[in-house]
Amino acid sequence: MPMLDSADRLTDRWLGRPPTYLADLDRCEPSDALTTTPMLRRWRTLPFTADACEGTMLVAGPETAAPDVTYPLAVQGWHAISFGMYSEMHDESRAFRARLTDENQFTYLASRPDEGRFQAEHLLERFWKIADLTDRQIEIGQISHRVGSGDEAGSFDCVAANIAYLKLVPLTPAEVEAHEADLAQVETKRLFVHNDAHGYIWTLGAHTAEEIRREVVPFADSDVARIYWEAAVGDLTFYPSDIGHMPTADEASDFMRVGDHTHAESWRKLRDDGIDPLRIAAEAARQAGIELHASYRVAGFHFPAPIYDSWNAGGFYEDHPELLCVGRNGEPAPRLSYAYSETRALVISLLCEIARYPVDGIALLFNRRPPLLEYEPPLVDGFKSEFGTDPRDLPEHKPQWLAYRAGVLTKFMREVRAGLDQVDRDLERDHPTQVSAVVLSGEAENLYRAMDLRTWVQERLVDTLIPYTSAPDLDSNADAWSDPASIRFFTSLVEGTNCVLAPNLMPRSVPASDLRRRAHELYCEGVENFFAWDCVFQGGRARFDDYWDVLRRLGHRDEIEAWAAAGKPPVRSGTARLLSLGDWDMSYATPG
Amino acid sequence: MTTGSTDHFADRWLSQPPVYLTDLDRCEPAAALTSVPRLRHWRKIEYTADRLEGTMLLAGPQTAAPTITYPLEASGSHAISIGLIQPHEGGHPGRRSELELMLTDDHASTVLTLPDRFPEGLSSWAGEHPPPWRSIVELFWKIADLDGQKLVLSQPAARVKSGDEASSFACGPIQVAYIKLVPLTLTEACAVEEDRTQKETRRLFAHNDSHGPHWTWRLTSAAQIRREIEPYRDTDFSRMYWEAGGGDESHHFSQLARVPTQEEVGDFSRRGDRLHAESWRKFCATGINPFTVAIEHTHELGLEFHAAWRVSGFHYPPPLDHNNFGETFYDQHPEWRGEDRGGHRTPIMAYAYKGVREYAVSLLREMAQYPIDGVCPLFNRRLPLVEYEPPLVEGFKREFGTDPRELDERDSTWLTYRSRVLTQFMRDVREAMNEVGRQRGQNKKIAVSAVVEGTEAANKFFGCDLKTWAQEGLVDTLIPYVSDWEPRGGPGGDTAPWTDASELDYFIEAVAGTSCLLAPNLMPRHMSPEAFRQRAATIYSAGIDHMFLWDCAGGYGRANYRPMWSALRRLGHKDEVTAWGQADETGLGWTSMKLQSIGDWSTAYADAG
Repeated sequence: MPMLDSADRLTDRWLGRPPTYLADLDRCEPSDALTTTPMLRRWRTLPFTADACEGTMLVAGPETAAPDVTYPLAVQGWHAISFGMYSEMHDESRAFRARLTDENQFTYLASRPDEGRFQAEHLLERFWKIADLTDRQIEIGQISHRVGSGDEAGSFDCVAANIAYLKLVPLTPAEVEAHEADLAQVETKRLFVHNDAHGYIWTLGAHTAEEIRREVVPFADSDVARIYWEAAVGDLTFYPSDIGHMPTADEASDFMRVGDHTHAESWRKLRDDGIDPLRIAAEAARQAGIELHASYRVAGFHFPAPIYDSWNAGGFYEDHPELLCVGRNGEPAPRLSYAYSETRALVISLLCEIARYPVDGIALLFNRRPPLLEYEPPLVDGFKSEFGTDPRDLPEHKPQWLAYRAGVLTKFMREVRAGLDQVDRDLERDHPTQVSAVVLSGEAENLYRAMDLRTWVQERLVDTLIPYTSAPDLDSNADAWSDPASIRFFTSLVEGTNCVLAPNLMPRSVPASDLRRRAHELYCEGVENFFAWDCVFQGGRARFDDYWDVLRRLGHRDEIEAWAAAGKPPVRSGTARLLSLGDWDMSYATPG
Repeated sequence: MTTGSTDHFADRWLSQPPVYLTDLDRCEPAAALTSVPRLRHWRKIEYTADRLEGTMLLAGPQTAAPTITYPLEASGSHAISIGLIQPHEGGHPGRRSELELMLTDDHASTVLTLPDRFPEGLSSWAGEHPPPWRSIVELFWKIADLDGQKLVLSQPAARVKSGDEASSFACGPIQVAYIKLVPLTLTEACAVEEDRTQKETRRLFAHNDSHGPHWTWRLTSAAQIRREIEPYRDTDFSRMYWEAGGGDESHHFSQLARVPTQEEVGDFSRRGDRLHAESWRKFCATGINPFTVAIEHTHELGLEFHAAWRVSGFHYPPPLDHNNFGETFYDQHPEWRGEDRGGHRTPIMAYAYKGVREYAVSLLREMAQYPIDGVCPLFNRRLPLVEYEPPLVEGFKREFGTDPRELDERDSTWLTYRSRVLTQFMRDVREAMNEVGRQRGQNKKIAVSAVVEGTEAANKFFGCDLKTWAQEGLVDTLIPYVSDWEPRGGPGGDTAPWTDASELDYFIEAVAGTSCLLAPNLMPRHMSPEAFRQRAATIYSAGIDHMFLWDCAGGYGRANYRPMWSALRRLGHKDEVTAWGQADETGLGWTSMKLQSIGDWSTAYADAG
């Protein structure tokens, strides 16, 4: 491994030269995009003083839709680039987007909602990246999308932005060499990130190729090896499918959440414009040197009112009431059962359709909407004929029944493997399409949900196993793996096999130091890869806050071990105390 | 007045069985209802719950569902409650679940609200199955005679954009499951009537900042102003403290201060700020003065109306500085700005200057031209008002031979000296109100209240000499805001003052031997009904008979019709509070039932993701 030393390369703290603060953001061009008086479609310029620097920040509100502007850098060579932003005293995120002039997509940088409350009088530093800035400028924009017609205040919905400064730290030649060496090595690429391919559209109304690429490409400079990009949920596909249907919700004109309306309208536009998000994401990942594993929610053929049922019209579920799950009480359940070969065949046809994209793998997401099978007649009758007992008369956790039922999903996994092998042969792929599975907390809970992981691993039906959390019932808020021993079932399961283990790190947001601590504990348990569910930019784990500073280098085990040996000091985003804003002395109370 | 041994909390004291009206698809006009989600329509969905089934009505955050009526077909006195589904978290930023209600004979409507997560007293629901958004919770509305009356339901909608597209309106999502009626026996009806006619329990004072409703709903009509006040009908509230302005911003049609139309501002830091400005532009254009409407409706309900005014607030910090644009008092008078220990100008207008005090008094005098019952300077925001301005420093040096900037900033001699400024201001206020009262020719003087800091130290530091104010008769009601506000620490709106009666000793001593009332403010704004009763019991135990509720407001404030409001609106019934405390302190929680199915979905199955 060509890592040069044990320096902790979080953000720009390892660099030796002093920073330069570029706080004169009123130099951005074009100048007519700036204003001193608040105006729609203009950045407001606002003088400030902080303990680190003073200058003029750019401010835009939730309806401003401020245009992209360019800051004239005029510097040469490699630099670490950070931004200073002001979050204000709100429980809301502030964010903006940035790119270098020759880049094809923006990167979104944001504050966490809680940072406003606790850092109201501070500028928050967001470390972006290290880049060669020779002959390059920085473009800055507001994150906004059209929500209505015309050009009035309510026509756009935006994320408010307060950008105070650019901070550049020049690299010495040795530092450049170390940085390039680090980028070139692949050993630390241990991190797998997940994007549900829903939230970025739901929140931001994304509907262009650029807006899809920016969900992928910025991971290139990190320890991210794979993106798990969701391609479908049941027969609801996030690509134009010959089998399923896209979430355009054409029959609905009203929704219970604004985001659902935004999402439907965006998908209508994507469809009408002939844009295929899955293909764009897959191609962008390939260009960025990141594997893309197309992910599939195995349940989700039918959705509950009133939030999600706009997706139900025209689905496979409506046409096949005979394939529904049946509860222990004999009542039909709002699920399609995998006990039926027709259901499995449909799913495998979708997976094969997805596998024909330029993807590196398929991931089956068993971590949403269980169960996939219950007490359907074929299962009940089969069990009765084999064991002479009606399983409904047994305790629902009876091992004999659970083992029998798990045979269905094992069969499904064999069918998946066979289907993907056929696609690989058809496409003459050099590398077989990988199969991942996101599963539940431990052996017992997985078996209860009909997942016989031991057989899956032994039969090589799965290449990567991703336990969602150590907590039962898919509790996303629980502190997963707080007892490091809880991973041992999985480590022992994959020991001696080719199956990769990548425990998911939950909850989504924890203090940065806790994230490092958890990674260190899991490394000590023999874990070598990590998974991050919902790892997206604006609103997700990749806000460029201190959490992301740590997460994006989580594969650098040596850095984490050195940090642990040093006593696990706190990891926090840099801040600068704001002394004045406009003509306001920040030491004076402001609420009300 | 007592209600005997009966606790009249919500409808739980009534003896007759309830009737659940779950066939909400009977609402009229039928054309306003739809099975498929559509803008400007109520969506119908069938459901089953633990004890009942029916058809609920839903509307989303952009629906702007129209007004509909339900044919109650009941007669006599009934308690009316509404079953609402907890809204799903997220997706409707800044909006709660909102339902506007009135009976066909009512003169004004009210709004019932639920937050999108963890309403007070329900936080334990987070881990339950089904999740909160799969449960019906009940909100007790009121007791009314239903003879010939229908129930009118609507979804409050703020117009946020022109046209008639999805983004033209912003609403709170709402899911209405049922109407519950409990008939009253004759004895029960008489008890209600008797309770409504007595005055003894009218111990509560409400505050409305007259900003939030404009900010949230972009109010444009008199009916919407009345909606903010209507919840106080037949409650223990006797006064409304309605904000008439802050600094040189006026919430009435002033000749001296600026109405917040903010014509100079083309973009706002929060959408609500734009809606607020547009609301005031509309009122100015139509000539409807919200202040006048509020006074008239408050008096119609039998409450006193006190015009409250934020003594500071002449200048605001960016980027929330939309108030700063235009011709401001602050810009016109740089010579009257504050000065700190280091001699630097500060962003306040200093009351050490006579010109500032005179302007402030002129604003209060202008408010008093309306038929109000009192004025109330609000000293609980944006302090300080006095610092180290040259007239103060020089005066202190002359009198004590020392530069106060060389003393500790909490030096007692200096703070006592500095407090003369605000005492003089309060004298000026009293004199002005007396003069206006005399001009009115009424026997009843215009009362002066003051919302002040919650500790002796904070009041002293900020120059509020409460004892002198009370003893000189400069103030008729003192309202301590919270008990832990430290200088420069900001107002502790999330803190819980007065859990210990001794926290009130300083204020009791300050008003001892005077006619000045004490009305401690209860914070935080939203607590469980049990917490409100416990806090009231502590205050009563200190010998204090009145309480103040900051940001009481309508649906967005405390008058939300959740169980906390059922407790709050009867908090003046000292006997009920005392008896409840002596018993087991139970019985005030939520009434709820779990949904079994909604549409074709069984709630036994997980629905997240």
